[in-house]
Amino acid sequence: MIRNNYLKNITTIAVICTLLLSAGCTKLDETLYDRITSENFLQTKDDVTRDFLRAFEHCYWSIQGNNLFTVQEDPGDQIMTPNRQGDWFDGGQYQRLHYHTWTPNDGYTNDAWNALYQGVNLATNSLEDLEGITDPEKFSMTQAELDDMIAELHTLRAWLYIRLFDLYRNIEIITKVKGESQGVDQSTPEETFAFIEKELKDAIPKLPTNDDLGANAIGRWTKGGAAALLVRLYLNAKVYTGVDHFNDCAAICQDIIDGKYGTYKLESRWDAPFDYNNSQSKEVVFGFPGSFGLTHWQYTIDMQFGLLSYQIPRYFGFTDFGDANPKFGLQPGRDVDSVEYTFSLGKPFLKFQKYPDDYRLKLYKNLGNSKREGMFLFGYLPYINSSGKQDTVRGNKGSYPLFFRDQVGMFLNAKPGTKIADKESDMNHADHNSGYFMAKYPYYPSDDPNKISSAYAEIRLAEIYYSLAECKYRAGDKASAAVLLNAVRVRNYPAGSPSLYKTDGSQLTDQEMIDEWGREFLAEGRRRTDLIRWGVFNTGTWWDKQPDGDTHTEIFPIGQNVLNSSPQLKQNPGYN
Amino acid sequence: MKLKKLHYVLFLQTLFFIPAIVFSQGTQVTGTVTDSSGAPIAKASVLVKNTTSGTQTSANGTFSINVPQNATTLVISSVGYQTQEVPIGNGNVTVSLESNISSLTNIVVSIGYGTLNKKEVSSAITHLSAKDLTKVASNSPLMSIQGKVAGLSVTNTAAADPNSTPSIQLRGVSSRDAGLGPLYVINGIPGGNLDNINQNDIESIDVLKGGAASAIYGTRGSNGVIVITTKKGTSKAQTFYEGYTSFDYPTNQLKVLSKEEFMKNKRGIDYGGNTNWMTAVSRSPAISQKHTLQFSGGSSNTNYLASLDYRNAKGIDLRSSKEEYGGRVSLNHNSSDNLYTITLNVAPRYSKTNLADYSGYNYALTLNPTLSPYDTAGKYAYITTGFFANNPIEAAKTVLSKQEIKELDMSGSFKLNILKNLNSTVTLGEVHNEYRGLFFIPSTNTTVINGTGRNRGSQSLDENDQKSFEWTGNYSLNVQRHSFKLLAGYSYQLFTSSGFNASNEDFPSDVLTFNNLGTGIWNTQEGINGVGSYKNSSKLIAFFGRLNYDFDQKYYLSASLRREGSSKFGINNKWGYFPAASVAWRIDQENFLHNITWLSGLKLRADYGETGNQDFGNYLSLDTYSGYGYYLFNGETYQVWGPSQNTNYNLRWEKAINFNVGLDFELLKNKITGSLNYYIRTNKDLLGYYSVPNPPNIQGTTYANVGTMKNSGLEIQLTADVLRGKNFTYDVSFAGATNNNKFVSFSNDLFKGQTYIDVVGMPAPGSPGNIQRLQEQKRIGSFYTLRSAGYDAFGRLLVYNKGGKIIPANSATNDDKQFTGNGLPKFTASLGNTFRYKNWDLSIFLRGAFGYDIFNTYAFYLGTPAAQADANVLESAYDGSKYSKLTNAATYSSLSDYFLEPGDFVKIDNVLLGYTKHFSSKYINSLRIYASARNLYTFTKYTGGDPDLTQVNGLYPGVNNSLSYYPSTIQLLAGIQLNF
Repeated sequence: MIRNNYLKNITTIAVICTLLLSAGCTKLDETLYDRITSENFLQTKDDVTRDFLRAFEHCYWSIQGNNLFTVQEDPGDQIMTPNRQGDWFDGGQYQRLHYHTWTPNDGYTNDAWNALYQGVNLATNSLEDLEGITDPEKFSMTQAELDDMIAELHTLRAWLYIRLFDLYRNIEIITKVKGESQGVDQSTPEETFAFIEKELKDAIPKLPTNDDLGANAIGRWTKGGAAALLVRLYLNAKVYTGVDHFNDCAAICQDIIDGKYGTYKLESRWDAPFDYNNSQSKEVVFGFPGSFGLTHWQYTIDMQFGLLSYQIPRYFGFTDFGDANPKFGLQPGRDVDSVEYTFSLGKPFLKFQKYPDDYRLKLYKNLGNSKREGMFLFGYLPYINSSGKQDTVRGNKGSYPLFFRDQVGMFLNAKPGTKIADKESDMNHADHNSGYFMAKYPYYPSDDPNKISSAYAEIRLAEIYYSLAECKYRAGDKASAAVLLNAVRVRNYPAGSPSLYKTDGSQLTDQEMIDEWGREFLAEGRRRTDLIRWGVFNTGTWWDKQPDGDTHTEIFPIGQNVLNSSPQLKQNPGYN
Repeated sequence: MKLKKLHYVLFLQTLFFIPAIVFSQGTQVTGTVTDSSGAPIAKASVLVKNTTSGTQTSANGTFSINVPQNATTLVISSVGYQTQEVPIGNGNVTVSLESNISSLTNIVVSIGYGTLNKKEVSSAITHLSAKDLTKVASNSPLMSIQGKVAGLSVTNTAAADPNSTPSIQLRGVSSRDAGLGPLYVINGIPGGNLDNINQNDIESIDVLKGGAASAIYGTRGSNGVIVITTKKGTSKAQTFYEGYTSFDYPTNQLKVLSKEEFMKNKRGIDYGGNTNWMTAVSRSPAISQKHTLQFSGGSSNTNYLASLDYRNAKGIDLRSSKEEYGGRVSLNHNSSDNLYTITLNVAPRYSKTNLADYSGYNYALTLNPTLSPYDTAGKYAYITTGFFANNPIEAAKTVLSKQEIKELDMSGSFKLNILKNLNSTVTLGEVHNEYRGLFFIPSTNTTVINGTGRNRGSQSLDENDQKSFEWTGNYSLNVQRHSFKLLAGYSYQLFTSSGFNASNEDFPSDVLTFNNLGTGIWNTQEGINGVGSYKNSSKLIAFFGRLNYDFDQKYYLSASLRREGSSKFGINNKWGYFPAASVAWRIDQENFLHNITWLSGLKLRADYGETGNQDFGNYLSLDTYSGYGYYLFNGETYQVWGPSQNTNYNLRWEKAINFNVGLDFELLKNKITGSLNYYIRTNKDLLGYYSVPNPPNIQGTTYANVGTMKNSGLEIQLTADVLRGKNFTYDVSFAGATNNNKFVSFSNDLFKGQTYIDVVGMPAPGSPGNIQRLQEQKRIGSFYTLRSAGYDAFGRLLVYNKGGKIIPANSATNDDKQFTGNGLPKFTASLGNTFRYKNWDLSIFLRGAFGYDIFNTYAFYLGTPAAQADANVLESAYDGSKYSKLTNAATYSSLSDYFLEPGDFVKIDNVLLGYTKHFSSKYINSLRIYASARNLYTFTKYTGGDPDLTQVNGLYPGVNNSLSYYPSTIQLLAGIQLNF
């Protein structure tokens, strides 16, 4: 009997529980704590700004991230990534960059595509977010502020497209990403050229000038920045589409120099465009803002610390991040026995030495008070070690001091000037003494308030001068070219230096033009493009590099992994 | 005739709980029946010898029976125990039945949400009881079942590290990216914390291998289910103590050049010292000890078991250690009218660890032997030259890397016996753990002195919490020869993870270590953000039911269905169904087999089950925005925000289709018992990041269900009583498993394209690229490298290019790579031998893996004369071996099958000698002392050290892609057990 009562109670409980279950206990919504979904992300003006800036931050990284610096410099005649006693062999992939023998199975052929297209995707996503704002007042914004952001994102995306176009030529044009999961067919080079040109031309009227923005111009796309991108597009148009646009290029260059897109001015010191205060430099047309704590790593990894041997930061007195790692070095001008090579390309240091009074030729040295001199790192590099004793920069393959030289080989601890028996000098046979290193951006000592805080100068006014000079040179106006080049070069030499070009331009030859581009823009991630435009990328000879059989390596193959996941893509010619 | 009838009555009683039949006139005898651990045995049969009078024990093991005046002896029997005759004596009898585990018919097997007698089981389940577990001093109780369960691969590539956790994989790899480990069900709570279990507390381990068995756990059943039951209280007061000490000695070492050999072969500069770095970075022996105290008691209605343990273990490296103490209290309470049962389990544990630095052994292998760890002033030397330069002794002694771990498992259940054949149970459980990570490197460390100059400290806290609510009902019905058991249930689980971390640098004093992070000035001075935190959660909800049916104890059918949903799944796929069915035929019950005397048991089984795997991160289907780096805008620094992943509203569980046929047999009067299983498991919709078109997908990969993997294999499990004398017995056990694996496809309707991915990047120096390829229609673990063609006169490695031409390896490209070997063992086996002579027992356990290749990473980087100068190399560089022929640095970094070696090995895994003595003293019941040796010897052709240090579980078996490692050891252990 008592059981029956229990049973009754139990039945009641069971019924209640069943009701509970059917109502509350089957809900499977996710509770988010440390994330936000796109639907409720945009709440304030700051959120809009954070969304707007997402692609900018990615693009900052893309100046060197995913091997982008590597693929622009290693195939050229100035910079190398040799096998240094087992370091940086990496399956031979960097050697294949040097020899132009890369295949779609080399990772960087995917990496560059992926990094740039991720930027395109992010910029497009932000564009869709911002273009979806119908009521800017909700965010305490004006329509003009919003329009400015939209125009800047279009320009940023155009910058990415130009780089994709330059590297791969046959690319997808993407203008919508939300809800999309499949890519589109590749556009012809003509279509891509027209698309980028239109994007930039449409954006320019809506963009501010650097004068409008004043001290806040750094990191922003302005009329001048967008016009400079048109310069890049037009300067290389012949390569891209077979149709030259040197006249268009010259016209825009002249307009920029004339201040039609904002006020720009060449710096009077060679290192000023790279110095800690360059965010306010009038030479910087577009730059990514730098800050020691928050953004230095965007370019210190490959572009700065990659161009230094291990202990060189100690020579700078810059110890905040520990030692460096020599991914890159300057290609040698001399063989193992110190005899100058006879080929005309490459030999970057010797090319500088042609004008021996060049300030940049000096050994890099910190002078105190956020000042430096020289650009190159060579010979023994002394420093005061932690025990307060005089020491010298060493490698990681033996404790002898390194003596950096304009040569590649197995010097090990051989004293400078002594002959070594091993005469081999090639990409697979380098030690840690091999090649000069360099520092374009300063490394002030750790106790200097301005250490590693330069903005990255992506577009400098000097490039506009050089581009215009090239247009003039190609049009046969060597005198104008010489004047334009000298306008920049004057800061590299003492007053009245014989190193300046004669104003009749008689010294200017194709080779001199190539060399001068190389001097001014050494390690700025554009050498490959310049060599191609001058027609020597595949035909030229430089250190450990013979001419190629054909020109298919002017563009990279689309990486195998990219092709695998986007089967609609067609491989570039010559890579099948 | 009469006897038969009584049996029938007893049988009915067994099924229906009918109270004892009252017999007329006689003496009243009462008593208790327990198992050897003192736990009560319910429903044991109590018969008066040579009569038909009998009764059975109650739920708490007690009985009361009227016996005829002339009766002298009772016969006590119960399923799973040896029948025992006891004198009636003064009318109060206490009987302890010995279990009869060698018999197929008498084992109680946990099947998830219930138990079955082994004879009733129709799916593939391997049952291990406490005495099957190997005695090993380890951080994880699962090391004690290594090699014991056919098809269960327990690997630990750092077994001697006191903080290591083994990798567990059942019947081959099952996923691309989601978890590969089984679901642990500890005392009925799914998702139990294995680290919070003292091996001594384990009563039994059931490994649910077949899909039909594990499908009751739905989305978590694919990798198998391991059901662990801990010991329960007894009505008899008992105390148990065990203590052991172990000594670990490095073994199977990689041998490097001595100083003399180093100088003779001109490997580098002589810095004047003479250091055996391997010895210098090692503690030998590393001593560990563990003590366990268990006590139990209570009444027939209420009883408890409490267990306490303390362990202090040191690793063979100079830093690692783990000190832990924990406890477990288990309470059972039956109401006097048997209407309800309440249980309560609480198990707290507190651990303090020092973490090993595996790179110390990398440095020990490679440092120039003429270097010294100390400079002339006796301080730690600053070492800058070598393969990777560091002073490993200084790192181990001066850098603090610790964890403080708190674990708490709690569960309680309330079971209501509504009717005699209907009950309902509510179970609540919580599994909680907290890991506090502590790190500090002092300013006096030479790498700091010569580097940034700043001491660095950090703390992190990671908390994981799982709450569960389960409600089940059981109903049983017997109609003539038909027997039905029904289970229905509901399960709700909530998982939460959260944590924070903080770091800073440049503290005013090294004495503060990581304890006062705010005093560091680095973060404020440099505007660096040193703080982070996270929190995420997920839910799992399920409804499930199961029917077990048998006809005449001959034909068995089990069918189950679980409907389960997870919050992690995409909005379009929240819920799934997981059905299973199994059948068994006890052929031995058929008349036509009754005359075959050598065959005492034979059961044929077949089962089918669909299971899932949802062991992946939270929020992966959603359109989430996250913070990234920083950017300056209008003079203000903003953290930028944007999409953090590609959305996938179709994201769902991985689905496994499991098919298993099996045979259980007993031969020669149970002298040989065993099982055979053949399984085919197809895992579909494999979870993992899949490369998607970029553009337009914002990220290059989407977390998606793509790919199909197939595993099949034959498993055999055998035990045999080879010899059974009065004083001497010899038992043999064997477990063996084959595994065939195929990565079937890597695309589906939605995601198309790649048929392979290259995996396992090999490290610097040389970073030679990926070494394995995961490709459709291939076995996982396939090495995809250059194919070697020997070496040339310049000491260069030669390889075949894709056209078949022989070229120097450094001029080969990725296009010349091909499939050259496989790292997944085809066959694994173990052999256990147990000898008993009077009070002595000796067991010898052998374990091996066969039919696979290991890439000798150590030979590749350090085993040839081409390895870099001023760093030490392995002896193989100069001993005339094939590795000594590769003298040329030009081909040093080319991956080829030149470095593939057969991985096959057989190990003398464990040898244990024990002596047990029973006492009839009132102070002590029994004493056991034992000594064991683990990893005594390895027979192998592999030259890269202990083959056990190379992982064979997971997607990338057969290669270590790091030179950092933890050496294997011989472990000597001596212990004592006391029952009183």
